[in-house]
Amino acid sequence: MEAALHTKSAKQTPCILGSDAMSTTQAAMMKVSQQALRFKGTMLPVTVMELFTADLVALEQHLASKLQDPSAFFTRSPLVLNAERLPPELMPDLAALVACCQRHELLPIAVRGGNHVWREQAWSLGLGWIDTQDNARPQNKAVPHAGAGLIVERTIRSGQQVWSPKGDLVILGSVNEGAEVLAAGSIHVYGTLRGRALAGIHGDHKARIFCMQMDAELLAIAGNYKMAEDFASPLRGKPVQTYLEAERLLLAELQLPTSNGGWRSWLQA
Amino acid sequence: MAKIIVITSGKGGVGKTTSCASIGTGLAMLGHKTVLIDFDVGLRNLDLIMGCERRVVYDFINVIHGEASLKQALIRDKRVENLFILPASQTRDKDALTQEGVERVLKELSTDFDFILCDSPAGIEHGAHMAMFYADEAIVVTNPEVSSVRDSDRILGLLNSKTQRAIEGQEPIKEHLLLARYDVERVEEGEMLTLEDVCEILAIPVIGVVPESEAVLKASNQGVPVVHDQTTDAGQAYLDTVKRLLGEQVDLKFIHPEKRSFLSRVFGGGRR
Ligand SMILES: Nc1ncnc2c1ncn2[C@@H]1O[C@H](COP(=O)(O)OP(=O)(O)OP(=O)(O)O)[C@@H](O)[C@H]1O
Ligand SMILES: [Mg+2]
Repeated sequence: MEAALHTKSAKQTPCILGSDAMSTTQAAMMKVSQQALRFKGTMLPVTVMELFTADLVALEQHLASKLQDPSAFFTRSPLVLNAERLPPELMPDLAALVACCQRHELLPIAVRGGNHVWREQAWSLGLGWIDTQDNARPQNKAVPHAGAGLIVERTIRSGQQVWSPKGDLVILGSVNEGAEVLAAGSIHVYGTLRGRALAGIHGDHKARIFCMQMDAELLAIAGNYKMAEDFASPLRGKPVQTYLEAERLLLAELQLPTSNGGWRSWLQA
Repeated sequence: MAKIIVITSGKGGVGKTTSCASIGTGLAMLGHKTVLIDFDVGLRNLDLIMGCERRVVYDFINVIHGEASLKQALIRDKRVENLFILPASQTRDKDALTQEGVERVLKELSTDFDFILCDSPAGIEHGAHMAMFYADEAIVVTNPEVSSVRDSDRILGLLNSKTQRAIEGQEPIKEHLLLARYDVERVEEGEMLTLEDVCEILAIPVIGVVPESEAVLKASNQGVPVVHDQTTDAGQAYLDTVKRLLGEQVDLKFIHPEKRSFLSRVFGGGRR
């Protein structure tokens, strides 16, 4: 029998809620003690449950068998219900599906895909709706690289987002303010990093961020992040690597000879 | 076949229309048959800067909607031969610019002209999108300040993804940076970004640097593009820009403070 659903996740820990991430959050909270709260954009690793059928009985059976396995790591974890593979006219009743998940100690927090009715139903059940991958991610016309990573030979400009879902991301150019680069692995910027860089977005703690000149708005590795105001200013403009050590995001100057191609090479004439 | 050039910026009030008028006039002065199209529907002012506002009978939207022929709508410039203006409508709203209509008008003009200059409205909405969609080249007008540079960066991203050339995978649009309202004194004082700073961030070739100049406002008020007056700094800067656009090599002017003597430069005069 074909699997009725498929649960995929790289890491179960939603880092921002995890105890180790609290230190960053607390530190941030102390700084803004006058404010009641603050919203922060972040990439959390979260389990996605992909539905291959609308048949609730089959879904329930599959969940029951899957979760009997004591090594099932995703119980009690937040879950995104992904219905992108189902034809929109054939959606399972969302309330029944949510109840089914809860019986098996899974906690749906949002849906992805589905039709208009599903979205309305999600809202009334207190679930969020996540834009489908295609809508959310502007196409980057970069050439896929053999190692599942991505090499992009251009400047990433304000409003653009480049995403390497499986491996490293190499940018031969700068990442400008207002741009965002994300990778499952490490990020290498052979230029100035002025925008936001999020490495290890599926939870890889070993991922790093390298850049020739550091001027980032935000740096994140596996959900641990720092905003511009949190970095030491002496590192600005220097070649820097960012890495995780004991859940702390650290920045260190890269000891490389500074190359200076010079801006004049951009002049026509 | 005409070369289609969009004059764009993202941010408003940086000098797009001023530049479109002077660059277009310069191209015609050097013998190239040129038409300027005002895409700023509802806020037309290219005709004011060109000094032909009293001769507008039909406009771009009329042509798009088949209410007038191109021949009827094109205004011939009184000062330079080979120069025409297709004004925007002041009364219609910008959704009246349909993509098919814009394409048809550009195609028709292409057979007859050497250059088509599209004066884009500010922002990244429909009008700006239409102005850039069919472009072969883009002149990105930027002022030496952070917000203008950032908006130009955003526009460059759109030029690379939301234009016909990008969508159809043709050779990318040729991009030029025109740094306008460059005030060397204020740059020296550190109040504005330097040419180097802007080039570093935008990473595209410079086609010209136009100094902040009183001559521009005077010229606009008189409806005579500043390029006509070659005794002015801005007029010279625009003519140099046109020459570079045509492939000539011309050194950049107005990028160093002029009046300071060699000695004061050496000893810094207390400046940074
Ligand atoms: N080099 C310059 N020196 C001084 N003033 C200038 C210069 N260039 C433009 N200006 C002034 O800046 C103002 C805006 O110019 P302009 O209308 O060309 O900008 P624009 O980018 O077309 O604006 P919009 O976004 O509203 O269409 C005008 O008052 C103009 O006279
Ligand atoms: Mg204008």
